Amino acid sequence: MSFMLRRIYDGFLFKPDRFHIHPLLGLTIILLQFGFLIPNINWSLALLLSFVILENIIFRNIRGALSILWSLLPVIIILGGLTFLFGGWILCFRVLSRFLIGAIGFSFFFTSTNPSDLTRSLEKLYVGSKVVLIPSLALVIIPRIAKDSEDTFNTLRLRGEIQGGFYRWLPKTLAILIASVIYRSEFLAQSLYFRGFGIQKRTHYRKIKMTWMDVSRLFIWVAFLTLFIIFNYYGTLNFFI
Amino acid sequence: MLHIRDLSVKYQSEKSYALNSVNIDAKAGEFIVIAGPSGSGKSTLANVLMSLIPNFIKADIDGIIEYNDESIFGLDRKKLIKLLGYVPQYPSDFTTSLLVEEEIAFVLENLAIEANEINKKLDSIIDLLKIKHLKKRLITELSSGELQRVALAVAIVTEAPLIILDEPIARIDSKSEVMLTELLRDIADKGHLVIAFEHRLDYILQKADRLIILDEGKIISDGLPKKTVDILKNIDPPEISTLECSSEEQILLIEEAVDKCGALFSNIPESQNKSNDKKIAGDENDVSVRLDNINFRYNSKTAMILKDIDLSLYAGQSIGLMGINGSGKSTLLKVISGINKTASGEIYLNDLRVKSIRKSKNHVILVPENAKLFLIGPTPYFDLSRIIKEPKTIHSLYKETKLTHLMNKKLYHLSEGERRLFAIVNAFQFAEDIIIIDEPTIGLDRRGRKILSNLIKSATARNKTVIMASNDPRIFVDLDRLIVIQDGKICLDGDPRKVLYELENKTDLIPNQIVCFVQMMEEQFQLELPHFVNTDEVNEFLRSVR
Repeated sequence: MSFMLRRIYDGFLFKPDRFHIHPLLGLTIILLQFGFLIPNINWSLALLLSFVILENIIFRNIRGALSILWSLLPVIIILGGLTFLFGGWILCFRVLSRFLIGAIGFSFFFTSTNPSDLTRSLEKLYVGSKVVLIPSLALVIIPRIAKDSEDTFNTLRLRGEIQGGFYRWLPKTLAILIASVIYRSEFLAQSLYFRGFGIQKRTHYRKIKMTWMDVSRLFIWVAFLTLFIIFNYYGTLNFFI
Repeated sequence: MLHIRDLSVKYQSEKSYALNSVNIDAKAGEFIVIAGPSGSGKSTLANVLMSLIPNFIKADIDGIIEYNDESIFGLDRKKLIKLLGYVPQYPSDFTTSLLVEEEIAFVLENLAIEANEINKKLDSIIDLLKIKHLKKRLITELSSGELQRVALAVAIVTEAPLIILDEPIARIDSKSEVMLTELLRDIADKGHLVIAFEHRLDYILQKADRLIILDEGKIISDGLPKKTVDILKNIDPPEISTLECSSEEQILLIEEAVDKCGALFSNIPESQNKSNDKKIAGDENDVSVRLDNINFRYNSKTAMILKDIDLSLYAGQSIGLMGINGSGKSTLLKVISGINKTASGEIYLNDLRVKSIRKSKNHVILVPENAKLFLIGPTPYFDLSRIIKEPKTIHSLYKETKLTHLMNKKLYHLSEGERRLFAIVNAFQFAEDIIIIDEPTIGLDRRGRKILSNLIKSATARNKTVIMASNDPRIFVDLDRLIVIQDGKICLDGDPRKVLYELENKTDLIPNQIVCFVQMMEEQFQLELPHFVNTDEVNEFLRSVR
């Protein structure tokens, strides 16, 4: 379990020393990805998965994507096995590809989007401060909860409190996760209170500019959209059916 | 300016008062240190001043806290934030952003300060605290000492007139301790009222204007540090103040101690001028931890944190790890525990090759820096009963350590020092051969450190290996071995007496006050003195030469 928590931390943590994506562009693309997950079109799911993988390769988030996949390995195996057994390989593909797109896409979004910049950008669009801080705090707090949980898990494991197989340590791990969420939330509330969050309209100390990375990412997604439209125009390509 | 009148605080589930009729008057420009034993009410007072009690922590409050004739409890949030700057006991708990610069700017953005102004303030505070190298770093990847400085930056960036610091020195190395105390003095001189709640008083008292001592929720002393420090004798005095050089007022400065003791040291008999270094304890044939060429980094993109570490630790040995903040002390402890997987090199625990926590868990017990993670609630008694089934044994153990009155208290009602002490006491009861403790002295008073010292002695007598990383050099003097890490490498390794005396020349650290004192004496009076490491040894020596 410790490896899962460590991988979630690695896979979802913003990397300040690497590329940055304009937060609004990142947000738009992640929403687009979710939009494409809704229709049950196998080829578009395959294309989307390839694009998400390609994007992670181009923008060098291979490690982050692999971390997330590694952390979710037990879930992938169970989910894949069950859907294959009860629904055949097409259902298995549809479920797993959605799952993978979500995980890898989110990893890319988390590692390349500065949460504070996301907040600033949304506030500039006149979205309420209290609303926009929710995704930003989520981006800050999720890796931290994973780290807290990992530290607690390791300490308790060395104490011999967590032993045995999957079914024995899973409830304890969930308890640790819940405790970490409560612990973090309590202090986060105190911190926001003393840092004056929400007392008035905020200013922003930094401006966020579009970079060539943003432009190239936009290009990838325009290409994907174009392909999608072209394929749809010439009729759905049933790759798998 | 700040008036605290008859302040009493009682936690709702407790019978006794955490604070009882506390009265303090303080004015701008004062630098006040509030000290006292673990559980004396220091953190409760800090929490009330910050209005964390009653806003977030439920407690009954009686009395008045006024700042410029306005009650703190009645202030709106904007006024409160502009009035108070706060450095919490655990700065990592109070962070809201990912990057250091964003964390500092967050409060200024919330106060709607213009971008240009924020950037100016950001640059000046970063220069003032010398944290330019941290500006773009992730908060989660800072060492606790680095985080402490960031928390201080957040507290003072709003230029709040009242700055409250809850154990600001607990997590920083001794050189940073000197720097921080000078910085707090400067802040006070600029007209801020600085109130620091602290256990490590060696340097902070030199710069403070007032020392307030709390015990069992009451103020037992309030006055000039030099005049009142004597009361701390049985609680937690600065090392240098307990030297028996002068019967007049107490000494707080090392230079002053050198002046006053100089005459006594000038007539030392030749026979006394010898070194008292000892051989490193532990059986060299019984290696409990062996590290072969260990290199560690968090990922392939980052620099190595530990470089080419070769180390053998023996059974029955107590080992201290020292180093500046961020030098890799805690990382090394996690490597030995099997938590951190190395980039290269091999770890052997009791001759068994260990690659992960799966293999190490039968050999190692770890008390992390945050003791909350170690104890399993609801009470310390419950935690220990998971290891020791016999209630009589638990009672006698807690009786020995004089903790019986606290053993059934809820964990979250214990002070940080009490919680840490319970975590340490309980950790020593495990069957594992290697006991690792990260920052054992945070929140511990003299009594707590004595208990820790006794536990170490009894564990090493049972052939256990005890490894501790700390920023407080005082804790190392009783250990068998001291290892200093600098830039990820082992820089010094040996008898603590020898290592502490080489510290200033060979590393970026400074030793404890007594070692500094002896070195200064040697330099000033051209003497060659024994390697004393604590005041008891110096006082005994002084008595013998008088």
